[in-house]
Amino acid sequence: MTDTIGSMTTMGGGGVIPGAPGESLLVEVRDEGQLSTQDMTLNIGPQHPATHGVLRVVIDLDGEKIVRAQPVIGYMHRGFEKLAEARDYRQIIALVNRHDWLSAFNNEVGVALAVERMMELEVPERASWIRVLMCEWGRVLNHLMFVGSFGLELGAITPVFFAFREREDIQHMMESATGGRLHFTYCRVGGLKEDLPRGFLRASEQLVRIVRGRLQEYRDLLLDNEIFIARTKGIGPLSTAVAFDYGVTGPTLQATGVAEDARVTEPYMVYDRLHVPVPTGTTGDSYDRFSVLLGRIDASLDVIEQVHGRIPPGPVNVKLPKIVKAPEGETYVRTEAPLGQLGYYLVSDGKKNPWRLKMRTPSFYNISVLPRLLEGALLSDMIAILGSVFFVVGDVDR
Amino acid sequence: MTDTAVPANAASMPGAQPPLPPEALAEQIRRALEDDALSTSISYGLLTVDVAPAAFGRAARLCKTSEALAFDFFDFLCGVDAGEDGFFVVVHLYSTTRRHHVQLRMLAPGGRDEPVAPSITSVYGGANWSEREAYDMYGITFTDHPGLLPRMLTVENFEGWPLRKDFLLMTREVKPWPGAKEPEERKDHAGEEGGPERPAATGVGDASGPSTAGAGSGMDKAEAAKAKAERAKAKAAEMRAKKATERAAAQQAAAGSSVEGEAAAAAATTDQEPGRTEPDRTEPDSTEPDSTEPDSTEPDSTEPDGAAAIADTDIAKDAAAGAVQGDVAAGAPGDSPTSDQPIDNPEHEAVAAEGGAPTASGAPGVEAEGRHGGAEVQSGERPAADTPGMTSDRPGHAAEGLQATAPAPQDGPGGATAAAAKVTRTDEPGGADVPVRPAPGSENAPVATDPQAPGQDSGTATEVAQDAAPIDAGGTDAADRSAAPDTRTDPEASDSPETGAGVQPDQRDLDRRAGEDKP
Repeated sequence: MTDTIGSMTTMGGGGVIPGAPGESLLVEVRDEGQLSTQDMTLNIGPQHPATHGVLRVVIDLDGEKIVRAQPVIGYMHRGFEKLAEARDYRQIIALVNRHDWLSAFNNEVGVALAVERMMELEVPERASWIRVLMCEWGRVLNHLMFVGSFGLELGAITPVFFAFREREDIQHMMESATGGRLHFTYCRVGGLKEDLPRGFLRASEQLVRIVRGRLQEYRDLLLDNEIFIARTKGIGPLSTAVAFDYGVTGPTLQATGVAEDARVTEPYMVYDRLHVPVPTGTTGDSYDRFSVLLGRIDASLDVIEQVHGRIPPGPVNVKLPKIVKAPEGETYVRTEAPLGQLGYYLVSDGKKNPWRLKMRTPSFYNISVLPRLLEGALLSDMIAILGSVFFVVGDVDR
Repeated sequence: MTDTAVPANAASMPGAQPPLPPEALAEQIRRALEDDALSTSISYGLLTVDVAPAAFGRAARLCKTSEALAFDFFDFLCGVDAGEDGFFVVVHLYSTTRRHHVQLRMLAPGGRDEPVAPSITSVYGGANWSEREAYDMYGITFTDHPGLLPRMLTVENFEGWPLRKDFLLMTREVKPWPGAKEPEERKDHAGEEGGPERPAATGVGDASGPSTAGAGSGMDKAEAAKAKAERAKAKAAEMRAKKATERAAAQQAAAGSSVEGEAAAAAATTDQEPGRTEPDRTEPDSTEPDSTEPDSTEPDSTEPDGAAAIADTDIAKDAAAGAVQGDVAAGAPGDSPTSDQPIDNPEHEAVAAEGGAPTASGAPGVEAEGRHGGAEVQSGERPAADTPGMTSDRPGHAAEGLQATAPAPQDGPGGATAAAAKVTRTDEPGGADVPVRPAPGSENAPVATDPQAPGQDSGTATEVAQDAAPIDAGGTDAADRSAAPDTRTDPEASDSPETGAGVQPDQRDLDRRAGEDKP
């Protein structure tokens, strides 16, 4: 082997010896010493573990460098927008908590808000506060999942066990109120399904302390980890302008240094009466995205603590007509889902089904910027980029 | 809650400018876009600016670059069906510095046949995928787009534009929602379901397009289902004819008091059973059986040789006498070797199929539940004559009702025997541990002496229930129904040799003959 390469380099102008052993392995050396390599197309997914489901990325490689990356989506398209047109609003709430299955309650709230706005429905105070509480716990649940999975993708197996330890506790508590572990369907147009069970707030307070105490473990395990830093710092940077251009939101946007968060900039429910910390990054690289994600858990715990003790007594839902109908017109509600801005654009013709329900899901737009992020990166960094643009495939394809 | 409509709360954010109210923003946009803005409207806090199609790209660029507007954030773009006018393309933009939001709307030229819109991908990069999605869902072509194909969310050879209103949601077309969704909807829900609700959207659209093809195939499906129901009906009629002769034979045999005669009588009387299965009334296609065959709903009065005739036979009298002695029930059906297998009876299925439209998938009901239902009857919780009402409203519960009554067909052909059954049941509290013990009404006594017959009862009854319960073709809406393993679904598929032979050997011939009529 050494001989062949040696003889090749002596040929000066480059080229291979025809018929030499291992001919196919030989490469031509140009004048600057750059190896010219053959272009190669590589399919990542749709069944790659780093794609969290069925996302496929077709990557054109020049050596190890990504020349062009094209995400291919739609493997999980379930036609939610069409289905929503054949459902009434009660049923839609059960439908939408499935597109992003890691943030079920946050999705439910968006639809309920849109319908309530069109019906000009005054939601009881207590319901609004409980909604905020549940939204924030949903956010913690979601983020813990990604804290675990991102570590796993980079080769650290411990964080995912830690994350599921907390997730289990939170899910158990949520289950006590909603009856569900994943698809809560706890929200209703006009309020909530039912009031919190006795002892929920106490359990919630306790969990805040536990989760906050354990957050330090994640920082120690990942953010301060030499290998983690080496694999994520400076990898896949994103600029604010590009993020805005592509509709990128959530931790991915906040990592670029913008404190854009619908809870703060266009508050809904009772967020205007709460202080919502919005962590931001500076360079928008993978490390920043991840640290913002961890920061958001902390921020959510902050908000949960503010909510404790401020939930007023009273009913949690209003009496609705037997058939809920949104009046004719259209509205757009944007909420801050765990993965970014979740918008529901609701067009109604006055019937019990929406005429059009556009689900503006954060994952779809966050993924759409992937070609920009991956271009020029090394193949080995792809996982660190893909894993830090937090997305759920169901939320991409709907 | 409602205050979210007015984004005035954003002012609470430190250092933030209060966003313009939508009216002021509308005024500002009108000034900036001049003639390009056709009109503005505000709906529930959402400002919509209608833009001329030709100026759409220019307007978007202006919104992005203008100092006063500063719409730097691309929110989303999507299509909206606009009825006979064609399709809207809407773009939502947001200003992160000024915190205002606008919807630019454009009616795509080209109507429903060839909607075309200018691409704004060169203005907002995020529009690339959004426009691909709009193309995928509505067939709107975006000029100057870097590449609308391959199709983004659907498969590459997908035909049709799914979100158009004339693209029908097939699960709802083939099979409307099987129950009443709302209390007051019961009467009209079938007509209301599915299809475009704006009449304008119905007739329009690409007639040559795949959506029409989709509708056509849906019609075929419905047609096929109907034909299948017809076939089943014919078969059922044949069965009824046979049943009559059989009953006569049973009476003859009963006079001789032979065991075979009793078995035959049992078979004959259980044949009454499916007649009582109420077809699903909420099924729009299945209204005929109610009117054409009154005996299917009223087993007692309309059966000519019903109550009195059978109550008069010797076997009925024997049964009534034997039941109170308590020793005839020794052969509990649960102990019989065949009773844990549902025994096929094509006749029962045929009658059930006649009532409800044939279905393509499984339904709740296994024979274990059937036996459970029998126990209920025995404990006297459920009155014997509850069938028709039970089965009509909730298809999921039809199975339950049928199972409950199936093993105790005492009120089948006679009110008198039903009364007898009632009396004996109240007299006998001790039989609760027997899984299915037919109530010792007149003609059921032979059933108790023949261990096979009750097994047949429970098995067939569940099958009837399976077929009577309509199944949602899409499967997505079956969540509230009890999910039981589906054993067999097709009436034709169920004449397996071993079970069929065990019940009535000549029925299989009949079934085969009925099968020959099929095209």
